[in-house]
Amino acid sequence: MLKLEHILKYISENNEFYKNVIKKYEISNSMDILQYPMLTRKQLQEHRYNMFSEGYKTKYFYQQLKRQSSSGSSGVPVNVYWDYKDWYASNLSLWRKRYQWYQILPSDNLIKFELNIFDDKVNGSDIYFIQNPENILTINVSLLCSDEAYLKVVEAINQFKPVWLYVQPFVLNKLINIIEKYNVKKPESLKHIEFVGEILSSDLRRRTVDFFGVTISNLYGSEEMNGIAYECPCHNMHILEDNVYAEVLNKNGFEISGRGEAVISNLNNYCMPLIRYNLEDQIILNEHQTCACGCSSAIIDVIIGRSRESVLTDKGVEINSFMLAEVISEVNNQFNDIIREYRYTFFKAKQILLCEIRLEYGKSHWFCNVKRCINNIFIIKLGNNYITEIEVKLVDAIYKNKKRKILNIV
Amino acid sequence: MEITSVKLELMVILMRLFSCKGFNESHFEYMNLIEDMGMDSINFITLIVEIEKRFNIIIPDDTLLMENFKSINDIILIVEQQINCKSKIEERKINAKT
Repeated sequence: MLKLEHILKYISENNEFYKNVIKKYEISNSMDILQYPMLTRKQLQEHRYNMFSEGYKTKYFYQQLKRQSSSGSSGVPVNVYWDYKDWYASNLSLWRKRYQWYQILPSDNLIKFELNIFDDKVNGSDIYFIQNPENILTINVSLLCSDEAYLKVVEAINQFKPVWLYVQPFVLNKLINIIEKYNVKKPESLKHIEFVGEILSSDLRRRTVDFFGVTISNLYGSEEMNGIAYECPCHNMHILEDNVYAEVLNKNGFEISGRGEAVISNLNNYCMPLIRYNLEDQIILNEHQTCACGCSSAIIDVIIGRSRESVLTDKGVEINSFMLAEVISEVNNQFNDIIREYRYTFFKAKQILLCEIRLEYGKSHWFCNVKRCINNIFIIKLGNNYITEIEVKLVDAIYKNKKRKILNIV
Repeated sequence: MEITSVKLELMVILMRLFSCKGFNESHFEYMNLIEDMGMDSINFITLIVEIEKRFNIIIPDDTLLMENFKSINDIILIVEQQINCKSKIEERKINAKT
């Protein structure tokens, strides 16, 4: 039985949330994905405790599950839980391709630029740290606010001698700028750079290859799904078919080819199954094609949804939307997912950053504590570069523009 | 592939993974990789990828629990099983062609 059919059969028998969906939508064949409705981020947020399959809620209470938090590039933070077995299967899908196409192994020295690292015991002021295993050096992206911070990163790279980097495009672009500006030693140990988190422009792609002389790949994924599509050496972003089933949603409805919002079904997460989950990224999907790399899975031609805004304050501090999303994530870690929606607006003339938040229904009396927490986190992140004014406002609803940005600049 | 050579190859992989923690060959024979050597998620994925690469097999999803890979003997059994499965499939393909 195909993986998709297998998980659909499973949820129809073992998951109350999806049993109700099958009933409500009068789905006649539970193994036919075409009959299932879309699952939104908001629905995942609202129903998260009801979406555990049978037997997994107990594991949740005993903290035996792996949690992955999406900081919500669309302003709606969510948590997804995995049984460890399924999480390994999901990640292996990507690792097998990394090895096959770029000879990268999990044991190779890696520097990864991470966003969501609040679960780790780290001194909040450290820009980088080594965890177990010792071949991975993690850089805290949200603390990269100045040239000095980036110079420290270059120094760390030269000392650690990684084989590959796992990095956001805007961070690598800045690193190259810093190396050129200050004429510091270029890292020589690198063989591969993997880009993640946002659109990789062709200019930066070319610049990276010319500057470092490495192979590069682009990874499209999410915290909810792990790897969704991965770039082969022929520069095609192949869907990781043993991890996800991909569709697009447009005015024609659901399609397996064409332009629309990315709707992804995970094939490995039996604990909290996500079927037809709308990632809200605009993509162009081309169904199965023959690629010179030998892989015949569908290809994502374009990903439109992921561009990150950033702000440069008068003090020369760069604040990017990753950092802003991570602040919300940290608050939610401390206050049990109390923030349900958020949006930032930076008023350039007045140098004020406004953070609007909508709290869980019935929890508005926590607002003062949440506000204090947000300000404290900014103080830790920005240190001496702290913006003089961060306003936090409680709202009943947040109305998004079509671009669904979490950071607006006025 | 003989069991002894599978074991030797596995020892090499485990040494690469755990030698930085101060373990050597003699430890792997008797120790529990999770409780005694502190194998975590990253170690585990590394182990699986290295095993798959070295023995040219795929570990099935339903076997992917750390508890199934607690000792070197556990791992030998799983690797042997997959090598045998693969040989049978290849044999069937050859027979089908002829």
